[in-house]
Amino acid sequence: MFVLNFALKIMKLLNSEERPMQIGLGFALGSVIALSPFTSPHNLLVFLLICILNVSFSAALLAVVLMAPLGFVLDGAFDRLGHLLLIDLGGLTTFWTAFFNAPFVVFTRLNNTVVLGSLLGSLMLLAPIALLIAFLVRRYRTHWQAVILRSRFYQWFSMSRFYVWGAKAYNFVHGGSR
Amino acid sequence: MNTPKPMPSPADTPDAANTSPKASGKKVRIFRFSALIPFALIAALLVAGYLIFFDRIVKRGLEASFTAMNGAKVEIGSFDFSLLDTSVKTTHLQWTDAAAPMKNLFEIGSTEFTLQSSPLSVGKLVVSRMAVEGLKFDTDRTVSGEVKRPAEKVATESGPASSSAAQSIESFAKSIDYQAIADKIGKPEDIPVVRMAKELEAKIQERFAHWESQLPGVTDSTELRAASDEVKAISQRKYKLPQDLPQLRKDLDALKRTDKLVKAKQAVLKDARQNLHADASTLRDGYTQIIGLRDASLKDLLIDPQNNAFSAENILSALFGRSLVDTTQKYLGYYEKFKAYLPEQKKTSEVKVVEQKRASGSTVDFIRAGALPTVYVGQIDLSGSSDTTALSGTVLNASSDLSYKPLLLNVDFRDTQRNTDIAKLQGSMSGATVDGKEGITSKLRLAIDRTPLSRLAGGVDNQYLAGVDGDANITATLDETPQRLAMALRIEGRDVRMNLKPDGMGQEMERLLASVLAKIDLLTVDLEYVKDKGKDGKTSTRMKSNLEPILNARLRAYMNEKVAKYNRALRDRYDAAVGPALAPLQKKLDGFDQTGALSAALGDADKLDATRAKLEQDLEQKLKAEENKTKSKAKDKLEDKLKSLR
Repeated sequence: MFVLNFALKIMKLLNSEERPMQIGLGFALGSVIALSPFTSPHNLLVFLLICILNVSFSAALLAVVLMAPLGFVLDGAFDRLGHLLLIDLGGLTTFWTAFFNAPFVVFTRLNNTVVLGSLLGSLMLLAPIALLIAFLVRRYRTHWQAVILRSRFYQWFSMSRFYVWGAKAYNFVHGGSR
Repeated sequence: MNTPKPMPSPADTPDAANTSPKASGKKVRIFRFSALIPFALIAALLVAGYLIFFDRIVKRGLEASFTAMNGAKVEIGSFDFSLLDTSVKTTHLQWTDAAAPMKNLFEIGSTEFTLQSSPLSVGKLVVSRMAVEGLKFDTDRTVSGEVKRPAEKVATESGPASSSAAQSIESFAKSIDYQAIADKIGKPEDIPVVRMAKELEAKIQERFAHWESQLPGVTDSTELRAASDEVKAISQRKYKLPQDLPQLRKDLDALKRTDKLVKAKQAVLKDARQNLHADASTLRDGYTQIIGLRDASLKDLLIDPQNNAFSAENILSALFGRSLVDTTQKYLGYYEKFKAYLPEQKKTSEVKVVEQKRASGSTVDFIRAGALPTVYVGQIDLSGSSDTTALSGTVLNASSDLSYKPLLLNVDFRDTQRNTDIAKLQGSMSGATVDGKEGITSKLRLAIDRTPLSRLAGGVDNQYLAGVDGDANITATLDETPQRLAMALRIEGRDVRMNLKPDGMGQEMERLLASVLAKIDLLTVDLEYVKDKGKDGKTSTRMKSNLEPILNARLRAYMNEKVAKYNRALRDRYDAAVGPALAPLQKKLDGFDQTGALSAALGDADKLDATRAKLEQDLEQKLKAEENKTKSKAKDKLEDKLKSLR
């Protein structure tokens, strides 16, 4: 049921009135949260940006769910990137010393190799992800949206929401889960 | 925030692409300011909640952190943080003794300090002056402060150090039990010496009976008397020669016959005497052997005091050893634990990068030269009391990085009733680099005046000893460098008495211990604990005391006296058991020697022989003279005849 519900949400997002770039940026910002350790303080700032920037909130949440596994996979690479920046590149020591001894910076936990590496990594991926997602949405809307919406599969698929609601109602009444 | 739109129906799909904002040319705003309101509301709610629950959260966080550090519950009565002046107040902090969960290692009535605000922005807690009041040590808890942890393998310890000493004393004391002497000697019939004496006695009896039957025949002098009478008659006879010449010759023949008779008797008597001598000698040898065995057996039974002298070292260990070592190690454990709370010493003259591996990545600290440590308290004013003891003192430069400034400690303990000093704790701890090795250098000294020794020997685990009485001055010195940790403990106790456990031993054992463990005018105990911080991390504990020579001397004196008494009793009892068996032997051996009768008979025979020989000689001379005379007469006659013939 979760997969079905998730697919329905994706379809709803793709067919919404939001612009492809709104969806792309929302997805990219959500990816920043997903790729870095969840409790990192900078995620609060990213969340604030998702809230106040006119980007797709649904796309951001979708990114958090979809990109989180990738974040775990890339932890090692982020750790190496953070290590390179914090320790291996000795020329940056002076900068980091000044940076981390500045007020409040110490609370950002950016002196952790994984946090710094994942933040920088996700920021580097921010634009490509936004553009890629915007491109894919645009492509979908111009080429595939009409075909898909008219297809028998979609008609059957759109009916499945009644099944989802029915299942939800059944679970609510009987307290079970499917 | 976007609002969910109904999914487009297939009916409107042909125009779907054109319904998008881009297609409609509608301008999209960059910011969604309306979202700020709920965001601000949520943020405000979070801040309000944080402020309301901050004290509780911090209190619980501190309790959890301290408990994890301590390994037993640490509880804080209340925690009050004021955001306006960044002041902190805590009350009733209880720090459980991890080794004894029903005790608090210490308890603090209240603390009050103000955090400097500017270092807070860089994550540092800096306090100029802190007041710690109501400090108490070793207080009781109403509920256990134990924290359940996964079961750890505990190395099985050997029995108390005193057991071997106790067994040694016990076995010795038991060996002095007089009842045991009879058991040790055994019944008279079981004693080999007695058994052998009985056998010898029977043999003497048998040989005595043999000789008693043999001797009358051997010493029978009837023939000798007849011969003697004959010799006597011959000797009294007067011969008129040459008429009695045949009688003379007859007497000579009689004397020769007597000679044969006497010689035969002499031979029999000599033979008998020799055999009797041999028998007596054999029996005497047997007796000598028995006497030798008696002495050897007695020697085996007797105790040699030299062999049984034992060391008092184990008594010392039983009284103080384990207790002292345990106490020392316990407090060293606290010290080590306290040190473990201190993060890595980071002071540096230039920028220092400290990398710490964590579960998720590595945390890197960039430390500026001369920067403040994460936690720094300029001065802590301590005050507290317990029963009649009041403590006061100061701790300077308490920090998470002792290389920043050395920690200085000065605490006095006073007896408020007597108005006298009880103890003084002084010292310093600092971060140091010695021979390229970073670590902590500590010099701490605790001097305690006139403390009851019973406190030190409180954990005595001994079958006989209950503890010690007396007061002692204690000096403990801890000296640590990055290479080694050494602790020296010296105890000087005056008029020390060791207490015995009532009903814990036999009467003899009680007498022994009471005699040995009498009052000691001046007792000294030195304990040295050294731990090397090399790869192997060797530790050594050495304890020395004057108790050992004192107790040893007393033990030896007691043992010597007891052993002498014991041996005397043993000898008397042994003699009483063996003596009756040996006494008739000597008597019988003395009575066995019947060579007198043989010698007398032999003397008579010799005398007769001598008389006979002399008589024979006389008679032979007479015979010879007569024969010569006859020959001469015949010769003269013959010569006369020859002359007449001529």
